[in-house]
Amino acid sequence: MRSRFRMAMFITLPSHRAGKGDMSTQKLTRIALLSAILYVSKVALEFLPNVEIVTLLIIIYSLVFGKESILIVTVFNFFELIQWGFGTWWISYLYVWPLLCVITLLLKKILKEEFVAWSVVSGGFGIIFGSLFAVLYLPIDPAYALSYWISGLPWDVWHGGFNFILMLILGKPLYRLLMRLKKLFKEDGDQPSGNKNCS
Amino acid sequence: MTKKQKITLVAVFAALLVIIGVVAGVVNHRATQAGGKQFTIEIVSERDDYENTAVYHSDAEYLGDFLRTMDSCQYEESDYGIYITGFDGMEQDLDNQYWWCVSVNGQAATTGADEIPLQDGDVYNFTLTQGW
Repeated sequence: MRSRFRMAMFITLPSHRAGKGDMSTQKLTRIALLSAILYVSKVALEFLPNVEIVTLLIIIYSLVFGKESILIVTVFNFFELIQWGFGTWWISYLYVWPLLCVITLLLKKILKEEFVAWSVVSGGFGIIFGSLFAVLYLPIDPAYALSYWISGLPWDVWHGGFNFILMLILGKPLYRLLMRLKKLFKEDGDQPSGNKNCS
Repeated sequence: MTKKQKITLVAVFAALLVIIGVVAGVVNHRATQAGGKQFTIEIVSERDDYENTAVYHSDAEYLGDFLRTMDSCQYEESDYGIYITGFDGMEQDLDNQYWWCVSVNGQAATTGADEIPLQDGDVYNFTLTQGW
């Protein structure tokens, strides 16, 4: 009981400090919902090897919600850990998906709302997907890293092709939908919840 | 972005995909030999104090195909192809981290036996290995 209490203190204490670090209830809920959608979309398509809409969703999340997408993929990564348990692939997940957020955020100003270009980004990410995992094995065993990458390359091409097509078809409508929803809920503001009613 | 630019971009990406696909296919292609082949199979298990080397002949294309015809080989069929569980009753023991390691000409195999082409003169070694 005592340790539980301490944990509760640890979790609740930061929220009492009003300031920039506070996360509004709306933001917290948004992250929870969007990461849940991300996870469910992955589970739903697991029966099709290397066909996924995780890449598509992460790019769209990054375009609509900016840096917040990094928090969303972090929560998603923990869902994956809970489902599959720890493996070296999970260490890769910790940098692979946030990297996609960073790539999107960097290209956002150049590519704007050109979804044909985003399709190329999404497809390209599918092609390099295997190499991003192989990188982890490089310092341990370069020969293994190379054979791991090469033997998976046909699947990377397959992955890239589907990523490209899915973004081409679903990218724009999904982006518009999320932008509309974002505007719809903007009235509540992103103010820290504690400041509004309790101060 | 004009329509022409969009079409060009899609075409370039499609071409890139095809090129990488072909390269991936070529580098992953393992040529198989037709006809009869003579090769050596070594089975080693320190746990069972066992070591056996024998020469075999087969027309099989892949090592996996040959192992299925080998009486002393115990195996399971998995989604990834043949999975060797034992030889001559010397079974793997996953609880104690014993598994059968496959090597081709002294090099640990990077693919399953169903993807190892049977080549004339090759030496296939199966060693019961402990530890992951």
